[in-house]
Amino acid sequence: MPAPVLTHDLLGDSGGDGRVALIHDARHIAYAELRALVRRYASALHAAGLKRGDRVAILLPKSIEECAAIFAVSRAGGVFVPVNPLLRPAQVRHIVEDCEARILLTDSSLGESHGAAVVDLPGLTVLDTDTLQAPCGHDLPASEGIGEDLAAILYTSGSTGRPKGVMLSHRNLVAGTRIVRSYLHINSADRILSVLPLSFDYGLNQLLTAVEQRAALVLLNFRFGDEIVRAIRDHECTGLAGVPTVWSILTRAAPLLPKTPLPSLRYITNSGGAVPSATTARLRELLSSTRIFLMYGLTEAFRSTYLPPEEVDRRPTSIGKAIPECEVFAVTADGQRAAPGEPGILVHRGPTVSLGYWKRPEDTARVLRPNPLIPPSCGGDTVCYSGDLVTQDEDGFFYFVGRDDAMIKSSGYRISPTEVEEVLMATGRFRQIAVIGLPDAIIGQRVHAVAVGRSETIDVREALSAASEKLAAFMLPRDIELVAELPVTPNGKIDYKALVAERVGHAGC
Amino acid sequence: MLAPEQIDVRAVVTDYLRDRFPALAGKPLEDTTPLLTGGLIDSLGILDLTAFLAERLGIQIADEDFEPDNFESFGRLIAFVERRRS
Repeated sequence: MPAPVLTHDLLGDSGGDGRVALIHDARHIAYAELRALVRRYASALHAAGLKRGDRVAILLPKSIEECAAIFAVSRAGGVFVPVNPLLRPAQVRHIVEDCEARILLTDSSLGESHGAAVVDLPGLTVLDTDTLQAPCGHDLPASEGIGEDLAAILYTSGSTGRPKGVMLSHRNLVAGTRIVRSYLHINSADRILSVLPLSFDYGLNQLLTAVEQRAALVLLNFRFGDEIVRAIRDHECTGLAGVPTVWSILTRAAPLLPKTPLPSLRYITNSGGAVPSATTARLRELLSSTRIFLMYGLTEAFRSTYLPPEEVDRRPTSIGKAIPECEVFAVTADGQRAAPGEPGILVHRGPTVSLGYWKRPEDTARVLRPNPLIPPSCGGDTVCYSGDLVTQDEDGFFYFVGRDDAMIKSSGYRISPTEVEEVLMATGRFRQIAVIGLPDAIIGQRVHAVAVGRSETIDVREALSAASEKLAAFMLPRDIELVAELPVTPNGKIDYKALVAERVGHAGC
Repeated sequence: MLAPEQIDVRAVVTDYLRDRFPALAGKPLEDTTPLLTGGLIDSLGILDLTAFLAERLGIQIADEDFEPDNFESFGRLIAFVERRRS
């Protein structure tokens, strides 16, 4: 079989036909059936006028249909844009409008709650997977794409503004799949539990690696820790990918876990933030035969580092070393390679470096830059500047130190303070507001707002309630603290660092 | 902790939910108001909520109580709390 070039080549035309590909609650679908569903969707997309390079926004709950839609868009020559169904209608509209989607693929339930928000967008066709069908006898032409074509746009937040779309080529996705599968040793005997959204590159990776290997993927929309434990036990799952919140829930709020042996669970992986050492230690106790991979990545470079499981006890706070095929190093402010122990910005080079942000050349230029160590005339490539401060120890292992900007990371989500501030300001109740992340043992950072009210009698609850119409629940500040004035830096800007320092200092968290 | 007969469970739980979960603040809470849909109360929120129920209302939450059925809607939650208090 030729090596896969395009995203849907990972699924291929044959192989593992009778094997179970996807399991969701009581439903399961074999590889041959999944291919038939992908062909059906791809034909329908083509019949609806999709051209090579057109964007298709996918707004679906985690489901067999969502997985099929991703491969179908690739097969039809389009660019898939998965949208988290937890986003509020106005946030979905931003993504659909920003990527200039030609088609929105959704189901009747989400179509009903979110459809009105996009109905007036020019040139957008809304298709419902519940009834998606190509006209009888419609011929789906052979795929003409190449690996350098845009495959996906994944929306993610930075430190300012609304979410930006990270452009990934087929080559990026195929390389990411190959690299991650190889160091996790994923093979056809695996049964991977998928609990993360597919709109998140890390969540998408479980689907791609499982399909590439003809392994089984178990889809779970969990709300209770015990649901994860039961799914692993009942489906004999071998792998689980989670963010720190998942591990907090499993170690603190899954009463079944200590009394349920999970011998099938070969490995777990963490990304999307650091796991507190105490949580890692507890996981080692609860899952004594499971290997723990602590990893680090950002959507702009897909995946960057992982810590080999045998190092976890020795270096529980490390994010490890570069993934295969990639190089990672820390660079100081003056563009030099950081010495051991010296903080620097993590820089990533290799085949998973993305194509930048959709229609945002200035933002792209800040993140994708010429290799600082090798000039272009000597073969220097384009590398990804993560914006994450790290240090490296004498043995070459990396440690996350912090962000060099105000971006908040909570429950594995990247949250832009200004996006939240704009929505709160729009309630008309505040003169000034600053949104910060405060350290939280369970969710990494807790979203917190500090504000100057327009009057003495601001109802903070009402403001939050109004904001909840425009922001996903995970982005809402837990609290709005009213103050007389916000601290400013010497050049008159709100001093975010001071706001955090004041609260971390006396709050004792 | 107040004596059981002195507590208006509905009011106490309503106050807590509005205070802890901004998406529920300032809205009428009806029996049919969903609590889990759309991530309104996520898995960690459930953790806080059960800690509150134990502390404020003296409810012992058993392992088998960690079930979506008990938290799906405001009405289901109140029914669960009242069942456990009786």
